Amino acid sequence: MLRRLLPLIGIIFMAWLLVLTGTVLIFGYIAKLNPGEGVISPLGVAVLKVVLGALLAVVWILILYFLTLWYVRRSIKPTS
Amino acid sequence: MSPWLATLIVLVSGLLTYLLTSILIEVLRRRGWLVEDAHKPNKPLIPRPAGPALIISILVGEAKLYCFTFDVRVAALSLALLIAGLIGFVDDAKRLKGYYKPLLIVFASLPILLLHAYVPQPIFPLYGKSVRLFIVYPLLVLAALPVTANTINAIDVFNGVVSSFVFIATIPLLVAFALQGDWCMFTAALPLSASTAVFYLFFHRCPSKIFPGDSGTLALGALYGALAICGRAEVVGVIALLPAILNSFFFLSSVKRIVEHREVKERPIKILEDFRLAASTSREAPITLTRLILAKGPLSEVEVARAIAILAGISAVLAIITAFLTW
Repeated sequence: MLRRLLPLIGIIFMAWLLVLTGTVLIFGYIAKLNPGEGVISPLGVAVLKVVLGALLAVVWILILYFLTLWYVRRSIKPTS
Repeated sequence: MSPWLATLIVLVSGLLTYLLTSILIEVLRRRGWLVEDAHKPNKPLIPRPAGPALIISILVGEAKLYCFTFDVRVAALSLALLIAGLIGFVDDAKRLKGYYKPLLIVFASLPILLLHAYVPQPIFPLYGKSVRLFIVYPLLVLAALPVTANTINAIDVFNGVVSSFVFIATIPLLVAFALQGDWCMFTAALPLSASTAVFYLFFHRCPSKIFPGDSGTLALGALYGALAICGRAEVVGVIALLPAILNSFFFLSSVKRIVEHREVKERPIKILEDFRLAASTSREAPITLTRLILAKGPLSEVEVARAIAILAGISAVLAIITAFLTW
C-alpha cells in the first residue's frame, strides 16, 4: 500500500515544502521589499508586493497542477 | 484548565454521539430518509444524515466549556458549527447547486468576525514572527470556512473516510494548542475529536450504519476551520487538511468549474464486477484523490479508505512538525 501511495506522499510533501517556502518568501522578503525613496512611489511598492505575492501563488498552483498532471498521464492510459 | 472538565466534555460529547446517532438511525429508517450505498453488492439503503446528532453532541460539549470559561471564541465556533450544519441540512433535504454551498457557508464565518474571535496576526513557520494582516485577515476568515467545510464535504466519498480523516486532522490542532498553552482551545477541540472517533468506530466505518450527510460534513469542516482560526493554528490546519485540499484542487483544476460531484457526467472511478474500485481511463473524467490512489490498479472500498487515512496520517505528521516550527 505504501509503495502505491509514494507518488501521492511526494505530492503532499511538495505542497508542504511550497507552503513553508512560500510563507518565508512572502513575509521574509516580499513584504519587507523597500526600494529606496524616489525609485518607486509608496503606492507602487504596495502594488509591486501584491503582484509578486500573487505571482508566487500562481507558481505554487502551477507546480502542483503540472506535478499532478504528470502523475495522471504516467499512471492512467486514456482509452477515450 | 481543569483536566476533569476536559474529561467530562470528552465523555459527554462521545456518549451523546453514540446515543443520538443510535436514535437517529431508527428515526431516519422510519421516515424513509435512506440513500443507496453505491459501492456495495445489492446497494443497501443506509440512513442519512447523521449531521444533527453530531452537531448536537459537539454543541453540548462546547456549551459546557463556555459555561466554565465564557470565552467568546467558544461561542463563535459553536455558532459557526450550527450555521454550517443548518446549511448542510437544507442541502440534505433539498439539493443545493454546486456553487450555492461555498457561498452560503460564508455566513458561518460571520460569528468569528462579529464576535471578534480572531487575532489578525497569524504566526508563520520558519519566519517565526506573527504578521499583522489587519485588512486582509477578515477577508481570509470569510473565505476560510467555505474552503474547509467544502473540502471536508468533498472527501466524504466512502464508508468511514470523512470521520477518520477529521479525527486524524484534529490531532495536530490539539498539539498546536498545547504548545501555545491555549488550554481553552485545546478543550474546545476535544468534542470534535470525541464525536468523530465514536461516530467512526460505532457507525461510519465499513459497512456504514449511517452516513453523515452534508449537514455532518459541512458542520465538521466549518468547525475545523473555526478552531484553526480562533486558536491561531491556521498554517497547521492547512497542512493537516492537505489531502482534502489537494482532492478539491485536483477536481477543480480538471473540471474547471464549481460543480457538485453528482453533476459530473464522467465518473472518476468505476465499480468492477467483484465490487472493487478502479480508476476511470476516460480523458473527460475528473481527477480526484481516489482516482489517483486507484491509478496503479483496483482496490476494495476498505483499502481505498485505508489509503486516505494513511495520507491523512502523513499530513498530520507534517502538520505537527509545522506546529513545532511555528512554536
